[in-house]
Amino acid sequence: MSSMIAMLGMYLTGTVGIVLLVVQLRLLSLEGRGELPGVSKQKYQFAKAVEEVLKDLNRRWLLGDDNELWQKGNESCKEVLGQNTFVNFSYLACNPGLIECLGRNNFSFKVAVDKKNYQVAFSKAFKTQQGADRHYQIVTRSNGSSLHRPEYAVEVELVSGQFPGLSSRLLLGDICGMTYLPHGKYAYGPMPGKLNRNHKEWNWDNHGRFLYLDKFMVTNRDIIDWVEFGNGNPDLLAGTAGKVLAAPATHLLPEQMEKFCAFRGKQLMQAHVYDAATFVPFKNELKEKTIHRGAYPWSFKDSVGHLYQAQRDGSFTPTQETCQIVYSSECIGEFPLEHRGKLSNAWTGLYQVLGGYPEYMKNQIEPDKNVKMSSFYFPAVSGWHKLAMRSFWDGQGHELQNFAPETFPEVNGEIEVGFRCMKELERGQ
Amino acid sequence: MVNSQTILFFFMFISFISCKAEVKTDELDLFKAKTYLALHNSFKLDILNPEFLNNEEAIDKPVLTWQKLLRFSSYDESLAHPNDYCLFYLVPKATGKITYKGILKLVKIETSESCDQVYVREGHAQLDDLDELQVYFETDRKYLQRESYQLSPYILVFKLKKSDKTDWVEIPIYNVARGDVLFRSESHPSRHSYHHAKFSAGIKETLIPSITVLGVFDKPNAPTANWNYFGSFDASYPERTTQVCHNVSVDCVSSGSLCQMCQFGSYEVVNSSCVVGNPRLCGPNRCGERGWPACPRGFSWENNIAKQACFDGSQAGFCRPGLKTVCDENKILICL
Repeated sequence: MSSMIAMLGMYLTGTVGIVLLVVQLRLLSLEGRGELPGVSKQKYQFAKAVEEVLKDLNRRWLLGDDNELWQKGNESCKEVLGQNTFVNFSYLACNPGLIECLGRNNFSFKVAVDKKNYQVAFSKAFKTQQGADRHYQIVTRSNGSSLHRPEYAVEVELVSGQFPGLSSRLLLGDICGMTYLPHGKYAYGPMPGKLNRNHKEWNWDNHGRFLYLDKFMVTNRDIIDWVEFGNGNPDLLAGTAGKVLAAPATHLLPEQMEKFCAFRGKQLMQAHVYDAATFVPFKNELKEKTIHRGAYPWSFKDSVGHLYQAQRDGSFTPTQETCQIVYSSECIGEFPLEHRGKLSNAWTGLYQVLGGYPEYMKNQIEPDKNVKMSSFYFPAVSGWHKLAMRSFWDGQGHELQNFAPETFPEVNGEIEVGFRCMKELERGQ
Repeated sequence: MVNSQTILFFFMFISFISCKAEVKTDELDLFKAKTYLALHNSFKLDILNPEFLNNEEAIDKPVLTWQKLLRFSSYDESLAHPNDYCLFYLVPKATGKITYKGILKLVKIETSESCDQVYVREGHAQLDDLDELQVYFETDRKYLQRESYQLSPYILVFKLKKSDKTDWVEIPIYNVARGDVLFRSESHPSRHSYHHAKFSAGIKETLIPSITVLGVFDKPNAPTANWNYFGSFDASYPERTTQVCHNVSVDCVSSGSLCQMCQFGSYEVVNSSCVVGNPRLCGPNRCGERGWPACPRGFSWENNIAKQACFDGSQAGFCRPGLKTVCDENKILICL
């Protein structure tokens, strides 16, 4: 009897065991396909790894963290970013050359997801119009046809050897390059008075409008990107050869400048907007008929700063600091011009305001005043080194005769003129 | 003999139990993975039932009904079309003699479809046996006092109870900006996407403002989109070949903007003083030149409170010397 019970026990135990085993095998088969049903587990893991990468990438993109490659003179980085001396490191922020610099040096992001370590890198997935490989491409609405294209962005592709066959595409926006012009009543041109007898008060306002201005002038590097990924004329590359890539592009004619800005969904800077962004606001109240404004970007008073003293005394001895604020002709040979420096600034966060390179801007109020004259062509004692002091450029070339007579001094070579862009966002955005 | 069989049975039973528990975890993991991959690259989010969102109460009525929660638009693999999804919840019946569990379901739909009635379709992702669902999506940081839980902006959060275990599921929604969040029945966003202030950079406020996530792709499937962005660099307003991308009548009635489709940017022209803005043309901007729109000069600078700006000689716009402002047949102030 006991043996029969034992056999029955064995039979039942075995049957239940087999049933359990079958059920278990079925469940294992569900999860054992190497992927979650209907979705690639690999794809999800890779997306989570990219999520971790984004934090580091965002930081590097905004701060211009190049892993000290370019800063320490890495040759492949210098090839794409230009010389690393006398350039403010802020040049690297939101700069696609930073991506190329990291990519060429096989930089990878090291991240952990669910206690597993992954390496994610930039893929050399893109080609310039000339057929060269790149780790990024410039995306605008005029050079492609994808959904919801931004006016300007830098596209990168992330890949990992641990996730073969998968990639993640990202658009990096230029969050660093523009600054907002607050709503207000503004004036165009210098303050009417003894020195500016012919100038009449001309006011305007931007209430309800959203104007964003380039903080810096367009650089030679920007022009290379335009030629490589947009409709920029390849002949323009010759003008950047041998130049500091962080320096303003000064070899374009106004129509080319306009095309560059349009490529980025912007328009050329306008003189009255530039004045609004550079004159220190004093009392720009609506009731005021005349808006008081000073001659320099650091104060609404005329009698402040080294330029005032130089112009009053008729003499000037440059120092490193004064040359960083206003790079005038006396600075040449004494102190190097720091490109993308931040000491020549205005109240809105506009840079390269006085000194350095002349700057072209559209001027429909006084079309014969379209070039900001304050530049290294003139000594600090010159009256040109004031806000809103502009002269005329016919825009046909860069020779002396293309500019108003008796303005620029005789120079070896062409007169260099930079430019910057602005844009107006839609209301309600 | 019996002992060894019993031991074998015991191990198999333990193995079965552990396996069963693992599959249950996988069900949630599967939902997380599918929902994450479908939604993380969304660029638009419609709130279909505001009362069910950001409410520190579980959704518990009306019981046994499918409720529309959210609609998403994300990038597809080709970057050519949006992928649209509706998120539904079958509200559980937790009281009474017979109880039913809730179901959270993400349904893929055509862009032209609405979320009405599509809950009957098979879910792209589905999670059964739920209780006490709460759904959150905020565009500002917020602390949930009752839950002692910190909500981060632009993260879709589900708090759910499954098999008596409470879970928090977080899915980052990278590309949705403030202004891309639409409340039910709205045709326009309730808030601006940009924070316009001194020193602001002119970029949409999103989870990571400098980064748009297009998605995770299977290589080497290259994007094959074919959207036509319009407006040519050589377009001429005097020849009427310039594209008007946002029409606003002098009575301030907006036709809706298509300016996001302009190849070379867009700019505002002058017709009246409307809060919705003035008409916009695709760039480039040659305002102030003969035959082109006048450059906007504003209204406040001369304390002009008149709404209408489009009339001959209007000072709401300016032109090059020698030209005068004239209101043209499109009710746009131009220079002649």
